[in-house]
Amino acid sequence: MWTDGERKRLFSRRELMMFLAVLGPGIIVNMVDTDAGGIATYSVSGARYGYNLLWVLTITGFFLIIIQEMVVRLGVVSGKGLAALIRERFSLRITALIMLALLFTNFANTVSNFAGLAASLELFHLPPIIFLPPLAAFIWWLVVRGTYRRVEKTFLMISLVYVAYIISAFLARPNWGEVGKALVLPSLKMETPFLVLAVTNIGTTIAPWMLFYQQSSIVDKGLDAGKLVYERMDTAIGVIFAIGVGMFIIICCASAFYYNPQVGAITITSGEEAAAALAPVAGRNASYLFGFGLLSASLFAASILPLTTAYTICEAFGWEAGIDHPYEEAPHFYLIYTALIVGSALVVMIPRMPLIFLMVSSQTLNGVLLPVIVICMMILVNDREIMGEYVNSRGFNLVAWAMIVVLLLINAAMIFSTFFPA
Amino acid sequence: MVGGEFINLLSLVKREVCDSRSRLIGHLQDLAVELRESPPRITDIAVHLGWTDKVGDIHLPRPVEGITLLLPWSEVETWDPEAFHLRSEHPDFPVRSSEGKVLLRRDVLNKQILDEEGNRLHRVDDVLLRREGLLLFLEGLQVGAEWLPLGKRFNEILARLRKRYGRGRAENGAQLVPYQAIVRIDEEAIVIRSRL
Repeated sequence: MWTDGERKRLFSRRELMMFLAVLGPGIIVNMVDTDAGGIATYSVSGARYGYNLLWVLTITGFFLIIIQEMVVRLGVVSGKGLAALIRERFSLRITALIMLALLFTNFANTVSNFAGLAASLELFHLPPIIFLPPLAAFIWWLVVRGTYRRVEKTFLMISLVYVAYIISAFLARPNWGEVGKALVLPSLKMETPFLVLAVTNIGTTIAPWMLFYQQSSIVDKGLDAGKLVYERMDTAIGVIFAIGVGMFIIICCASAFYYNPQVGAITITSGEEAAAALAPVAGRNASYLFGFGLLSASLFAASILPLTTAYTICEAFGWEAGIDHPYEEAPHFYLIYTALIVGSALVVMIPRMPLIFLMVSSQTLNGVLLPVIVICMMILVNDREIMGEYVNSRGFNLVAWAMIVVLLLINAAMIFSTFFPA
Repeated sequence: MVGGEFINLLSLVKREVCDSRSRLIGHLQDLAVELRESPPRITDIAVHLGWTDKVGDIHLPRPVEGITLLLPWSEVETWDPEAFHLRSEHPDFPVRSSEGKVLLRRDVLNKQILDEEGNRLHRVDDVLLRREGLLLFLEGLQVGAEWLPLGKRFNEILARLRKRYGRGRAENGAQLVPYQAIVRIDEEAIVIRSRL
C-alpha cells in the first residue's frame, strides 16, 4: 500500500506529529462500529457455532481495509462526502433508491442500538418502558445542544470496557490451536442460520453507514492527499481493533457456551446470556460489566447513527444540514434526525419485542446493502475526473472486484438457503 | 413564459447521434451553454463516439474507442425524439475545445444550489430547455418533485423568483429556478439570486 519513500517518512518526529493530528476518523468509525448489534452478532456466532465463523472475520478484516482505504482516498482527493459524489456521478433515481435503502437500514440499526440500551437497562433491573424515553430525549438533546463532540471521547473510553472480552477469552483457556485453524481455514455449513450469521458478521463489521460517516469526517477535518498515508494508518489501527474485539467476543462466547460441556451450542436471546461469557473475568459482576459497556456503546451509536443518516441524506439531496443551523434553515435534517430517534425508541418499547433478533436482523440488512454501495464506490474511485492519479491500480481493482463477487455470492447463498432450506 | 417546446436535459442524454449518411455513430453525452447570452443558447453538443481515427484535422495513429468530442451546435442538421442528425460524415467533424465552457450535465446537473448567503437549498434535479426551431435555449434549473419536497426557505425564494421573472412550475410537480436567477456556476456549487 505504501511506497518505500512513504514508509521512510513515517518515522520522523514531524511526521509523527502530523499522524497524531490526522488520527481520528478511522479509529472512531471502527470503534462506533462495535455497537450493540455487533456485540449481539459476535456473541450469537460464538455461542451457536463455536469458532466456525472466525474465518469470516478474518476475511471481513481484509475487506474492511480494502473498502476503507478507498473511502479514505475518495475523501482526501475529492474533498466531498460519499453521498455528494454518488449524487454527482449517478442519477437522482439511483441516489434516491440508495438513500431510501440506507434510511431503512440505518433505522433498523438505530432500533438495534435502542434495543441494546433496553437490554442494558434490564441488566441493571431498570424497566425500559420507564427509562428509555428519557434516554432517547437525552440522546436527542446531546446532539442538538452541540455537546456531542465533547462527549464523543468519553463514550469512546467507556466502550473500551469490551477489552474485558479479550481478558475473558484468555481466562477461558480456549484451544488456541483450534482458534488459529478456524481463523484461516474456512468452514462452510449450507444451512440458513449459518449463512445468515456469516452475512450478518460481514454486515455488522462493514456497515454501509460507516463509509458515509468516515468520508464525511475526513472532509470535515480538511485532510488532503498529502495526509493520505497517515489516514491510512489511522484506518488500519481502527480496523485491527474492531476485528480483534469481534474475534475475542466470538472466542469468549464459544468457550462459555459452545465448548462448555454443561451448556453446548445455544442461541443467545438475552443480555444476561451474553454477559455470562464475561464470568471468568468479572464473576458475579459480569452482567453489570457487560451492561455498562453495552449501555455506553449503544448510547454512542444511537446518537451517531441518526446524526450521520440525517447528514448523508441531506448531502445527497442538497438540503441544509447541521446542528449549528436553526430548524427553519435545516428542517429536513431535524425531521430525519428526530424521526429516527423517536421511531426507534417506540419500536423497542413495544411489549415482547425480540430485541436480540432485531439487533441481528439489522446487521443482516447491512450485509445486503453493502455490495451496492461498494460497487458505487468502485465506479467513483476509478473515475479519473474525480481521482486523477489516485484511481485504483489494476491489481487493486482485481482484488476489490473479487471481494465484491464474494460478497454477492455470500448474499446469494443466504437468499437461496432462505427460500430453499436444506 | 415565451413560446416553444419545453424539453428536459435528462430526456436528451443518451439520445442516438447519426452522421450525414444516417449511420449511428454514438450518443449525446452533454450540451454546452453560453450563459452570457439572454436567453442562454446551447452552443455545442458533446457526442460520445463509438470509435474514431480522426479528431478535427488530426489523424490518429490507430482508432480509439469511446471518445467524447465537442461539436458546434451548427453541426446539428435536425433532431427528433429518436436521434440527432449531423451534417458531417463520420469521422470528419469540426471539433471544439471544451475549455472554459459550461456543460450542462457535467457542471450543472446534480450540483448543489446555494443562495447568496451560502445556505444549501437543494441539488439540481434536471435542466429545463426550450426548443425554438432547431435551436435550444436554457430555460432554468428544475428542482424537487411531488416525492422530493423542498424546504420552506427555498420555497420562499422560488416564490419571489416567480414573481420577479414570471416563470412558474415545471412538470411533475417540480419547480423552476429561472436562468436569470443564476448568479454564477462554481466548481462546487451554483449560486442563485435570493436577495430580491
